[in-house]
Amino acid sequence: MFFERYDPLKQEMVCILAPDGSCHEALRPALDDQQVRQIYRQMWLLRIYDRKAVSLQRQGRFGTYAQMEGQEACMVASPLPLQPQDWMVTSYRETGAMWMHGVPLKLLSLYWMGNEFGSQMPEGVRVLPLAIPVGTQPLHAVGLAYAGTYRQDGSIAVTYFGDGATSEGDVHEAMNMAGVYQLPCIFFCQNNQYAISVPRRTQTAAPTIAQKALAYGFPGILVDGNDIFAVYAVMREAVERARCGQGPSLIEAYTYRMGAHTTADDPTKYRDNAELEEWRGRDPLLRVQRYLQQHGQWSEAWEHQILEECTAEVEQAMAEAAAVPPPPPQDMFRYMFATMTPQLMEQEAALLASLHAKGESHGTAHAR
Amino acid sequence: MALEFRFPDVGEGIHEGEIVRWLVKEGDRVRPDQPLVEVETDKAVVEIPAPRAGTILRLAAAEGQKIQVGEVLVVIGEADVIGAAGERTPDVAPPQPQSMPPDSASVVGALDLALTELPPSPEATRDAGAVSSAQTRRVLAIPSVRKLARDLGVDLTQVTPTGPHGRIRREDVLQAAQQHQVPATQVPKEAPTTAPGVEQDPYGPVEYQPLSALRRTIAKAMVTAAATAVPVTTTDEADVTDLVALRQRSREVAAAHNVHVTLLPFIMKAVVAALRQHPTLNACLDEAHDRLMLKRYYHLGIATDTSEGLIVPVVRNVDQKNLLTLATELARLTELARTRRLALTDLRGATFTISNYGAIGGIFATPMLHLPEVAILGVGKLLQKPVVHGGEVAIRTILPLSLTFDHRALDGAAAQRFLNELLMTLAEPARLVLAL
Amino acid sequence: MALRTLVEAINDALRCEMAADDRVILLGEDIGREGGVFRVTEGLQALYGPQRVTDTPLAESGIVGMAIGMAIAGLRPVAEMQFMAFLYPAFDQIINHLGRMRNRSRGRFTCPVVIRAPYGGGIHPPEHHSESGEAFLVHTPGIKVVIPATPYDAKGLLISAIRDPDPVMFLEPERLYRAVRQEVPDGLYTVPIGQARVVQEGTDVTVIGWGSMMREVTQAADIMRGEGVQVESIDVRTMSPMDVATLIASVEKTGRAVVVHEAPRTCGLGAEIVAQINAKALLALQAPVERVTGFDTVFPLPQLEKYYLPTTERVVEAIRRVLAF
Repeated sequence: MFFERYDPLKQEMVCILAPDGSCHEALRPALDDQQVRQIYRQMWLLRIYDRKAVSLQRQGRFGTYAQMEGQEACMVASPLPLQPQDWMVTSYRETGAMWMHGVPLKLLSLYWMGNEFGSQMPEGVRVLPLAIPVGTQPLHAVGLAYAGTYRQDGSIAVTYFGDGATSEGDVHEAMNMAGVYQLPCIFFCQNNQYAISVPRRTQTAAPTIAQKALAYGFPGILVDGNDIFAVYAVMREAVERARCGQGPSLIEAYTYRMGAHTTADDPTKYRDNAELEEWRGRDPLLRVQRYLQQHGQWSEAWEHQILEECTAEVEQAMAEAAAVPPPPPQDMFRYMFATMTPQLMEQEAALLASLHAKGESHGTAHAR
Repeated sequence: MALEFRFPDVGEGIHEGEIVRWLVKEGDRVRPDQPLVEVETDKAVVEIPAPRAGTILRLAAAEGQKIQVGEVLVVIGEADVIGAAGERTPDVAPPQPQSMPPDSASVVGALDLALTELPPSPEATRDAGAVSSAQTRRVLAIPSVRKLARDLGVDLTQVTPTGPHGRIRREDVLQAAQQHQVPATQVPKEAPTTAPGVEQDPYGPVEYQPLSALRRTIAKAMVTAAATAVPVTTTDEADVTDLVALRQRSREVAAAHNVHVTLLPFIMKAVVAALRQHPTLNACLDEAHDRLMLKRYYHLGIATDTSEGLIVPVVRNVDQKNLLTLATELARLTELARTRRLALTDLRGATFTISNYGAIGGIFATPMLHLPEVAILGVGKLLQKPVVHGGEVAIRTILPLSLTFDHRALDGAAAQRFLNELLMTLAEPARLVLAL
Repeated sequence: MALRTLVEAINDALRCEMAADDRVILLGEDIGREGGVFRVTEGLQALYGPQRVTDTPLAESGIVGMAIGMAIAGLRPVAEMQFMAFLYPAFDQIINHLGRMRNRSRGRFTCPVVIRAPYGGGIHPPEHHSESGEAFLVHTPGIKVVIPATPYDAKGLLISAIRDPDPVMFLEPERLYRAVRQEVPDGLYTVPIGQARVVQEGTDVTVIGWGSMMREVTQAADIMRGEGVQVESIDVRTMSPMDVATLIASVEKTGRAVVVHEAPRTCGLGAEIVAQINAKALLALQAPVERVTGFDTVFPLPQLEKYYLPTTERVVEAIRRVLAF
C-alpha cells in the first residue's frame, strides 16, 4: 500500500506520527498502547546506552564508538516486523537494531570495548558482526537472501547503511544483484544527512536516495525516519513483500545524526547549531512521548521509572562486559582458520616465548 | 610546541631558589640565552637564561616566590619566523579548549600524543658524511664455513682462501685447523674485530686488546644495572672460627668421596637459611607491575672468574642439596665455566648471587647487582684478627661480607636483618646444622 | 580413469562435488549458459539448473560479496572471476571480509568460499589477462591460496578447496588449461591443501616452482640430468599455507636452490621462500638461493611476452650459477 502510493520521484514521504505527537489515524499501524509504550521504553534504553557509551569513551573505558542518538525510531521500529530466522546485516551505527534483533547489550558493549568476542553472536541470533568498510555489507545480505531462496526456508535479509554508503560501488552492485535475482532483501538506508562531515546534498545529485531503487527494478520509498509508525508500517510492508516473493525494496529513512560521527569527531566544525536545534524539535522520542501523553499513556512517574530501569540495565550490561577478562594473545592466532596453519603455530609460539621471557603470564585461550 | 622550562639545578647541590626579579614579561619574544630571571639560592644570585628562542607564554612563579629545582619556571612558546628579539608581539592566546578530548585528531582510535622531538635529519643539516670507521679486513665465506671455523677455533683472517673470488672454502678451514693443531678441547676464540699488534698513539707505544664477546656482554650488563638499579652496599664481619674448624674436620670425610670441600658450600647453605627468613632478598623487582616477585626456590649464582671474564653459573635448589652435593656441583660448574662449556641454562634462573672474590683476595667490596636479582653477597678473604670474644681479646677467624642490595626493592634495615641472620648462622655451626 | 586436460579436470571436480553436495553453488559471469569463457563450467548449468549455476551481472565485488553471504548462510559457493586481474575489484571484499569473518566473529560465522580464476600469462592475450597476483593474496591473512599445475592435482585440490571450511583462492594457470593431459580418476578424491609435491627427486640442487612454470622447471631438470646433475624439483601447489617443511628438507639435502615464478620479482613469493630457507636451512646452503622471475614491469603485450616469462634457458642458467658458486 505504501510502496504503491508514495512516489519517491515526487519526494513523497511517509509521515504518520508528527513531531507534535498527533497521528494520521488512517495510516496508523496496528500497534496497541502497550506496544507503543514498549517501543518508547526501548528507544529510551538506546538513548541512555548511547550517552553512556560516549561518556565511557571519554573515560578511556570504551574504544571509538559510533553514536546513534537521534536515530532511535529507525533502530527500534524497523527490526520489529522481522522474524528470528531473518538475517540482519548492519554498518556500524546500528547498535540499537542489533540489540533489537537479539544481540545482548553485554556483547555489544564488549565489542565497543575492543574484544572480538563481542561479535560472537549467540547461536540462533542472525545478526552479522557490524561492518566498518562503508557499503561493503549489503552484498552479504544479498548472498544471505539468495541462500534463503535456494533453501526455501522462508528467511529474508535486511541490510542497513547510511546516505554516504550509497555512493560506494558495492551498494550499487548489491542492489543490482538483488533486483536481477528478485531476492527477499530489504535495503534500509538511514539517511542521517551526514557522512562524517559531508552533507547529503553533496553526496549524490539525486533528489532522493529512495528513487535509486527504480534504476534496479524494484520500489523505493521515502519515510520520516524519526516517526516510529512510518518506519514500522513501511518496514512491515517491505517484509511481507519480500516474504511473498515480491522481491527487494529500498527504504530511505530520513533522519538526523544528533551526535558526532564517532566519539573522536567534532561536528561543530561542519554544521551549525540552528540545524541541530531544528532537528531537536523533530526528536523521535519526544514525539512518542507526546503521543503517549495525548492518549493518556504517559506519566512522569512512569517515565522516571523506565529511565531508572533502563539505566540500571545499561549499566549492568556494561559492567558485565567490563568484567570480562582481557583475551590472551593466543586468540589472535586461533580464529584465523578452522585449523591453525604451521605458519600461525610458529608465530604464536614465538610471541608466547618472547612474552614468557619477559615474565609476562598469559592465560589459556578460550575454548569456543 | 610550548616548552615548560623547569628551574635547573644551577649547581652545588642547590634544591631551591627564590625569584628575585623577572627580566621579561608574558608576551615578550626572547632569543636563546637571553636572561629571563634572577633567582637567589643560598650560594648566590644567579641569572637563568632562555634555553631557546620563543615567546614568553607564562611566568610560572612570582617575584618573591620560592621555587624548587625541577618545577616549571616559565613557559616559552614557539618563536615566530619574523621579528627580532625584544619586539612586542600580540598575546599568544593558548589554544581554545574544545569540548572534545584533545587527543581526537582522527575519526577512530586515539593518536599517541607523547610528543617526541626527533634529532634533526642529517639531510637537513647537511652534515659531512660519517667518518668511516677503522678498516676491517673482509673475510669471504659462506655461513656454514664460518660456523665450521668457529667450531674448530680457526681464525678466518689467518686462512688462505682457495675458492673463487677470494672465498674461503670448507677445505681451507679444515686445512688451517690441522696445521695449527688446534686441540679439540681448546676454548674457541672470537675473531678479533681489529688486528692485534703493537701500535703507536700520539704519546707512545700502545697495544690493542680486542674485547671478547663475553667482555662486551658483561659491559652491557653493567651499564644496564647501573642505569636501572639503585645499589647500596652494607658490610659486616662474620666470626667463622668454629665453621672453619668444622670444615677442616669434614675435609677428610669429603676426600673419601673424592670431593674437595671449601667454605663456599657452607656459606651457600647459611645464605639459604637466612633467605628463608628474609624472602625479600630472594626476589626480583617487577617494575612493570609494581611488584616484587619473591622466589620460592633457591638457585644461587656463583660468580666465577675465567680467563675471559666473570661468568655466573647457577647452582639450583641449594636448599635441597647436601653439602657434599653442593661441593661436587660447584666443582663441576667451575670447570665448565673455565673451559667456556657452560650451557645457557646453566647461567639462568639465579635468585641470589654470591661473589667469592676473597678466593683471590680483598676484604670489603661493592659487588654489582646481578640483575634482575635484588641482592648479591660479596665474600672477602678469611682474616685472622684480634677481636673481643667472651669479654677477652682473642684471635678469631673473620669473614668479611659485603651485601649489595637494590634500594628500589628493599631498605637497609631489611638487608641488615638478613645479614644479621647470616652472621649468626655462620658464627654458630649448630644453627647451620639445624637449618640444613 | 580418463586422460583429461586441466579444464576437463576442473569441470569434472565441479560436476562430481555438486552431485555429492547440494550446498555447492556456482556463480560468475558467463559460467552458466556459455559454460565459462574457457568452457571450464561447460554442461553444469544443464545438469544442475540455473539456481545452482548462475550467470551473475558483471560485478566482481558483487560476486564475491554475495558469495560471502551465501557461505555464511551455510552454502558452499564457488565463484568464478573471469581472469585474475578482474579479481582486483573484489579485493575489498576479499581482504576486508572474506579473510576476516571467522576471526571477527570468533568462529560464529565462517566463509567456506572458493574463488576460481584463470591466472598467469602465456596465451598472448590483450593487456590485463596475464596477471600473477598470488603474492597479494598470500599476504592477506585468513585466506588460502592454491595453484595446481597438473590435471590430477587440479581436480583433487578443487574438491579439497570446496570442502575446506575456510576461503580458498583457486588460481588456474591458463597457459596449461589445454596444454597438458593426465590420467585423472573418475569420481571423488582429494589432494590435501598445504602439501607441496616433490616432482622428481635429486641430490644436487632443489628447483622450486608452481603453476605453469612447472613446465619450464621440468624441462630444465631434464636438460641438467643430461649433464649429470640430479635436480630435485618441487611443485609448491599450496601457496598459503605453504608447505615450508618440504622445501627445507630438500634444501638440507641438496644445499642449493632456485625458485621460479612468473610473478614480478620484488616481493614475489620467491622472496618469502628465500627468507624461510635462510631462517631454517642457512647452514646447509652452499650458494645463495636464486630466483628466476618475471620483472617489476607490467606484463607486456604479446610481442614482448617471450622476454617476460621465465624460460627454460633462464632456469638452466640459474641452476648452473648456483652449482658453480
